[in-house]
Amino acid sequence: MDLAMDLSQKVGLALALVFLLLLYASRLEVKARGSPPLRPLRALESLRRALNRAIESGKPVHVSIGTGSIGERDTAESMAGLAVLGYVEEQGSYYRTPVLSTFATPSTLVAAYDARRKATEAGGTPPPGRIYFLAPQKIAYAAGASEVIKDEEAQVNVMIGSFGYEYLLLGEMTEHRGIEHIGGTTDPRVLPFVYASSENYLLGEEIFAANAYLSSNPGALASLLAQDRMRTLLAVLIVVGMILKSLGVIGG
Amino acid sequence: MKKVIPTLVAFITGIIVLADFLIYNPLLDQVSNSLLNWALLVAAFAFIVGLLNVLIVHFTRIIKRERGWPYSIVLVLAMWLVIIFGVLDPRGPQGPIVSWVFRYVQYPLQATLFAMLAFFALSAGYRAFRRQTVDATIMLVAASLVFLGQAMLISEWGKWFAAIKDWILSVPTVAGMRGILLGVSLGVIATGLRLLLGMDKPYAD
Amino acid sequence: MIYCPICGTANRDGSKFCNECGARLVPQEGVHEKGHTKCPMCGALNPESNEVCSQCGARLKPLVSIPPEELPLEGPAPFIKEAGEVKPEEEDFLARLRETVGEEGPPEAEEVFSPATPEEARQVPVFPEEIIKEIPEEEIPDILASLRAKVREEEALFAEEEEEAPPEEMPRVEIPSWVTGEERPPEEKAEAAPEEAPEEEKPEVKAPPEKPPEVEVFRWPEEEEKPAFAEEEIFKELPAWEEIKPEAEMPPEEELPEWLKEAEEVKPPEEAPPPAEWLKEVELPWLEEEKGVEAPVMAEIPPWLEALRPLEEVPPAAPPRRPIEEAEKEEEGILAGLKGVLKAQGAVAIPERPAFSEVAEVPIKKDLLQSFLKLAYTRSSPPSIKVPSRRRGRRRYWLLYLVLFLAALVPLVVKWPPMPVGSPPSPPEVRDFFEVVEGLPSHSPVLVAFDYEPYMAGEMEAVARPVLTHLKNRGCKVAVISLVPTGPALAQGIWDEIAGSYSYGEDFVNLGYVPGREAGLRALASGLGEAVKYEYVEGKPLDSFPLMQGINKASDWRLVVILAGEPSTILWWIEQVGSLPGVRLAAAVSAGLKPYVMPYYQSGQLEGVIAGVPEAAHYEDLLGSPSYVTSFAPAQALAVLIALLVILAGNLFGGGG
Repeated sequence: MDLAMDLSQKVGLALALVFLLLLYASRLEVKARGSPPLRPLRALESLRRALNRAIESGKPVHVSIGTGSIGERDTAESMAGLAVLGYVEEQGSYYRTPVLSTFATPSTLVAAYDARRKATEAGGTPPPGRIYFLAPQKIAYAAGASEVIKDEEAQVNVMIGSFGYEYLLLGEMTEHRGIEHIGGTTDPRVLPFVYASSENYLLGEEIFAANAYLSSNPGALASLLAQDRMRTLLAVLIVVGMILKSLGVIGG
Repeated sequence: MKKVIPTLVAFITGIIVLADFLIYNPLLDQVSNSLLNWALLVAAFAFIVGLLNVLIVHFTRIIKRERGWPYSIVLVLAMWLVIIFGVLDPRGPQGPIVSWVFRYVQYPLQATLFAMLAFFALSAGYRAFRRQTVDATIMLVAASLVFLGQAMLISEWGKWFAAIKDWILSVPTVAGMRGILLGVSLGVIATGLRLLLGMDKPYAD
Repeated sequence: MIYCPICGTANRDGSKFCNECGARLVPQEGVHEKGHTKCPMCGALNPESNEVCSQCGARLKPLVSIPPEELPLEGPAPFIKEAGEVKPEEEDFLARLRETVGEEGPPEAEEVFSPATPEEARQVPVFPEEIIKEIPEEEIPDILASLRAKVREEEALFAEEEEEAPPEEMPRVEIPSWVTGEERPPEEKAEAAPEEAPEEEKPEVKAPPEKPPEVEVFRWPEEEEKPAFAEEEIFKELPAWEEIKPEAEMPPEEELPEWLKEAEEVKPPEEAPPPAEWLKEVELPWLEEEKGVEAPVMAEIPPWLEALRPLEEVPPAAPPRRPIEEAEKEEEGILAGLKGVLKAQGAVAIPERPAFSEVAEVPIKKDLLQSFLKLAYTRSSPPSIKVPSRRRGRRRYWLLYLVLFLAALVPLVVKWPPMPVGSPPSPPEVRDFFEVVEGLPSHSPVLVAFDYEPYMAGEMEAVARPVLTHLKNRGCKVAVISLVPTGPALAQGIWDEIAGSYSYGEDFVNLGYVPGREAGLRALASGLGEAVKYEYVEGKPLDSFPLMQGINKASDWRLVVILAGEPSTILWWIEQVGSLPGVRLAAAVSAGLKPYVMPYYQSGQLEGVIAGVPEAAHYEDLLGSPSYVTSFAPAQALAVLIALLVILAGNLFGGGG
């Protein structure tokens, strides 16, 4: 056993342990006191409304969870997207509203079939609408998804998950067709585009809140709570660091 | 039992890979690598699901004459051609035919589509700034300064813009990025821990 | 056959959802799931400790423990207050109307749905077949539709207030306001009005004249009552909907409608017990609104009525009256501007507030009647409906695109402006990159990772070329590897162009594609042979190439250069390979990744960074041989500036919105 860890590993381990404790405490808290008050997230409200409109109009809802996969760095983002997809699929099953979902990686495709199975269990019938596996190349995926949205005349386009520049490609193509879109991703280089192309956006880790908001799953609520506490701590540290660096107190 | 076993497998696998990341140990290293190789195999099998999905979806479209069905024919044919030539060629995907397809079909198509991004970025930016909110204004000002700093056209003023640009990119941007990345990594860690501990088993039952 | 409680469509036996409108036909099952409670309204899972659904605010635990006497009595207060706001000329009419109706029927409170058990609370009551059969499948009469439009407008403020109230602020143990009927989502009557009418009129027909008319205090929660008659009877005696319809469809805009005139004519007899004949004439779908008006002034109940008080029975008409989830405002089409006109998420399933809706309808119905009367007196023209167009901006985009296209094309063609040499100074991270390569001994083995997909090639080639040129000039031995399948081909193409003639296997070798992305890179980090068995071009084993002699692990390379278009790949390299002892990493990336990689540059994990075309131009400048990048970098910068100006000009001079 060689425990020769470098600094980042130590910090990572410490962070994970603190987080584990926070997570456990939050889990107990949620169990004891129920759901914490949640700050309203406009994009998720818009998502519900857009879903209502789709149900009214009978037109399909398109959900993209991005071009990430399960089993790699972007697993968490993909899972956040899958949570949204699960919610939409369930609604689609209840109200017979077509749900289209498009995928760029096979691992998420398999998870999508699973989400549809669960929605079927919950709602009785599988939601109408297809699951598409498009292409592992991001740009090809964006082009394909845009065609699916066009061909199936989707009412709303939901893009929450792991996206690169293809977010802008897909988002603008749907926006130009007059289709509402709701998006969110974590990649900082894409966030300006997320902000610019739609008014209904989830920035950064807000996408991880989607699961808790939509499903009210206690585990998701607990982790949301734990994330918030941890983030508050880190945010304070960052602001202090930024001030100190601007003043030249610390360098590097 | 049906639910315990997957959770247990997920937990043990996760702990091994995590421990391998933190601790140098040859045995652990080997086990962890095999696990990762298995993950690769599983991922490869998932591609078969993807292939089946593509075939089923597009055959349905063709049979039902759905909107855009001729494209489905092109897609299925092209897919089989590339697969067949890729398999028949002794050098596999590096063979001349697949390389040709890459060089003269895939590459220009992707590059062209990506070039559209410049236009989309312009229209998205235009729309965002038309919202005329405080954040949009801040974004516009910051973007202008960074653009000017990179422009390299105005040599006398250039260094001032470059200095401003450097400050924007190295102080507020990096701090903000760190905030976002840390927040995101918190979400990632939380998701990982929840899966690891079986707190929620989203796709395991 | 199962009849849909919402739209009345007949569905096959065993159906769970209506084929027509998709509403749930059977009560939802499986409300308990592994330690949490499933909301009967929206299906969300809540912790068992939740009193109300955190999603939609529906009550999860019934208020069984609270006896009806303890319920707050202030429910109808706002209603009474608002009733006072009626115009003087209407007031008289309304008051008399109220009295009359008050004499006739049991109070509205009879409809209170107070579940005794949790199971009951969660169940969506099924609409009995008999009733459904009687409900005509007519469209909503025009008169009602236009009426609603008016009401929606007036109640918009009211509805918005309610929307903003976050569910979590709802007190857990006290009775929430929705039970008291203080607040009502206005949309509910859209669903309720036409369907309820036949059922509720019945008591009026049968009402004994001896009922005491004078009542001032309203004590509705205790007054749950049950109509003494079975539903079948009701429908036998009531006029069928079809008979009523022609009147109801009359347009309200131009003049006082016929039916209203009739209603005024018959006002005098109101003092006396009304005969069933005139009632049948005036019985319109909205007549129940008058009942609504009457409700709050009811107080005492004659003993004979008291005896008829229902024990536990729930009025069967509950589902159609369930409120819609939220006041959904239509944005397009002829219904633009209206709220809650169409079913949102199905009327049964997701009310903003839970099911105990009947009592709370009271003020709304009053409002409806009131605005209806106002409408009859004042309205001369239908409200103009503005249909927003979303496609307005499309043409302007094409203009924008044209400007950008020309801004990019023209400088490329005319080769203007030129690159100003040496100014402004190159950023330190670019100079560091340059110094690192400059400091490499001759014949140093360098690994270059081509981790970008073809779509990034336009930008990444500009970044890759100066770096590869510099490595070649320094006499380094370059091996390329890629985590993306298309990378090796890209690398080969660029190297062939840059190097011209070289000895493959000695100066340059293409290690090809490493599958498995992050896992593949991990394998590469633990040993080159783990990830790569054969090289790319000739398919030979690695150790058959002179360049690869003595290279077994990642730290055997003097430098590892990552050409990345995506943040994930650069982070993989930094984590999996950069963390190994003795490995030096430098990154040449797409401009968008710059903020991504800078933290690693500042922390020393990356020894140099080149990001995007402008910095690549700086690098070429440092190399002293401006060629590829400098030929178009200034043109690109100009295009960017023009794009910026277009955005600015559009915002400054294009007007708001």
